[in-house]
Amino acid sequence: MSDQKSLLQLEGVCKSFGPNLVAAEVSFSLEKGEIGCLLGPSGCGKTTLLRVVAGFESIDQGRVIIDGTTVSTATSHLAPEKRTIGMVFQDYALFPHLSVADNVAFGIRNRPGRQRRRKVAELLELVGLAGQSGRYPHEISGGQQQRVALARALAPEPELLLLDEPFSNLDALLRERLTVEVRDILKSLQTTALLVTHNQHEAFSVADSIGVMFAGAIQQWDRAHDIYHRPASLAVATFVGDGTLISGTVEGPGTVRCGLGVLRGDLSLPCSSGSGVDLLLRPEDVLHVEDAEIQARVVHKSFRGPTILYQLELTSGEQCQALVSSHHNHGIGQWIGIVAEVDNLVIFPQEPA
Amino acid sequence: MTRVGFNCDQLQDWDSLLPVMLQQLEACCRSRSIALDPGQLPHGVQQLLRLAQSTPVHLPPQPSAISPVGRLGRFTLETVARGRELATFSGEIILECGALSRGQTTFRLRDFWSFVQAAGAEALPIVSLISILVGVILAFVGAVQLQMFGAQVYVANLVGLAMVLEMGAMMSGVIMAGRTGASYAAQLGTMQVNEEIDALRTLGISPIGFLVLPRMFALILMMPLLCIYADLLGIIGGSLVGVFMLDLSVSEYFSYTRRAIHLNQCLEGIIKSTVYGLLVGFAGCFRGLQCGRSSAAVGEATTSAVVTAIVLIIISDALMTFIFNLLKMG
Repeated sequence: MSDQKSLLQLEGVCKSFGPNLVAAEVSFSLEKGEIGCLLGPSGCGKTTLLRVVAGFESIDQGRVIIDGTTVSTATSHLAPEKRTIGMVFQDYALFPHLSVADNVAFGIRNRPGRQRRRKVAELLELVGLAGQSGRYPHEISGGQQQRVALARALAPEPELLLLDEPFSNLDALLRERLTVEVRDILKSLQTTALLVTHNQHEAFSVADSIGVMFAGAIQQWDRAHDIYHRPASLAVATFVGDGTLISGTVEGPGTVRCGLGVLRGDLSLPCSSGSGVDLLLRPEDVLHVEDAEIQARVVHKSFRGPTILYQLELTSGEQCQALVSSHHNHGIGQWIGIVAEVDNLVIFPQEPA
Repeated sequence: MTRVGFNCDQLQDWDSLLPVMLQQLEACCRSRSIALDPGQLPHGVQQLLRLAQSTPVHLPPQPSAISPVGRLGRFTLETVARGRELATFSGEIILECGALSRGQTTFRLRDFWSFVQAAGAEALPIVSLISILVGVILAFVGAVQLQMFGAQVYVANLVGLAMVLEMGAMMSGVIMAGRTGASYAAQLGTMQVNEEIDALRTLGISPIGFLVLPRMFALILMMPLLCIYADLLGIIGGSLVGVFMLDLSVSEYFSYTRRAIHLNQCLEGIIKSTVYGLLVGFAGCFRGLQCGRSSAAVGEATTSAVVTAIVLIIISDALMTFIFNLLKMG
């Protein structure tokens, strides 16, 4: 029996195009008001999965349940226009011959005039476009078009809002701002939403829970914090955020010895003492301290404005990365002192060589 | 034997046969694991050999792994799938017509009238030109033959009957396939590429009722009118030949025409053109909605809409002519 609280539920959904499996036994659920995100590299099947939820694609196996109604199974399929969903498309898909207000009003055409006008005004106010209602999509900027698309999708008050790479066509600054705004809008309306993106920053700043997808399968479905700090697999760890693996040995509960000395923290896996592990080191875990005991040689550096990402080589020959304030400008080949400060020790059992 | 070398002291001149032979030799040696030492060969030959070995070996194209039976099966499955798509689309249209008659669909009258304008009044110039020329051509071809029997006055009958029964409907159908059918496919295809159709559906609006029906109804309404107009202009075109080439008087020409044509025959052409209107609209919208998600697909959809429409027009013409003949005999 499906959990009454969850608004969207996928159970063992399989979908293939010819011989290509694009969704393999995908299961997850979203509670009412929750914002979920499918995160993965391009071609991992996340957009197809979103289109499955929207009803544009049929499925080969499993079930999709929206608000207690089974909308897709292998044999039955409810048309997208009959599902109470809203969708924001990657290229916005605004109707070019309609003004901003008419675009937003499109999905609520059957409502009485005054009510409709009030709703449109309300939504345009909410997305910060109150003065633009008479303009046409080609006259406004990409970010504004994005907001119109969001308002249009929200107008019929859908149970579930789907967003397909909604910020990918925007420049970095605008993206940063809009992600926060969109989250605030969705939260203020208590709308359940499912977002698809390949950009982890978008995923982290918008979503409550994130599913990391590779090759049609969800590898981990978790809170953003846990995805980053407690990745379930090596693939997730390396896809989300920068980082390098260095080998180490477990020396006791919460203690690992590696090329950066003895580190103490919470082990992500229970491991017996003496076993060899690969330890994930995030660049921000490695601090630069001038007179530190451990020295590493700068192999490569990339300037990022406020910080510099250094690729370092330890005396053992292993490499790690360090994110250092760009006041500390070191040349390639220089030796610098580093200290590792890791709270969550993400370890993976080493394959016996 | 473990090694093959060459003695090239006597070698004076060589052509492309030498590297070919050497390559064969090399393959032969490799299969027997004998080393081949090209060190003594002329410099040019060594270079050629190296070049030949560095290019990737082109494998002969693999004969397709599917047997003729498999191909037949695949073809059958594809045909069935295509037939199913067509049947689904037709079914959706019929269902939406039902919903429309109950007032349950979003049919925008404003859209409908703008399509009527595009498929009717705006098509008049091209229909005029083509119809007059078709009338002229028919009259001219007929006149040359009929003059041999001194029966040129029957050109009026020939042009009148041909226009009313076949050419008026057919020519306007073909023109509308190229003009309106193609533009429908392009419009819907572009909307498909821009995900506008998906957006419509997520807003709870059926693309069939909202996009397809107004277009099809506009064509179904306008085609018979265009057909009557084309009939008339075709006859006028024929009369030009009759008057200026065959020295018939205008009133003579038109009285012959009037005696030759019966209302039933006019109706036959008009019924045909209504069906063509339906088919052109169907083909245009079907191909447009089927369109893939790239801009190249829009072009393909447009082309295939025109081809489909014309093929459908010819097939339905043959069928309807056959049926009308049966009715007349009965």
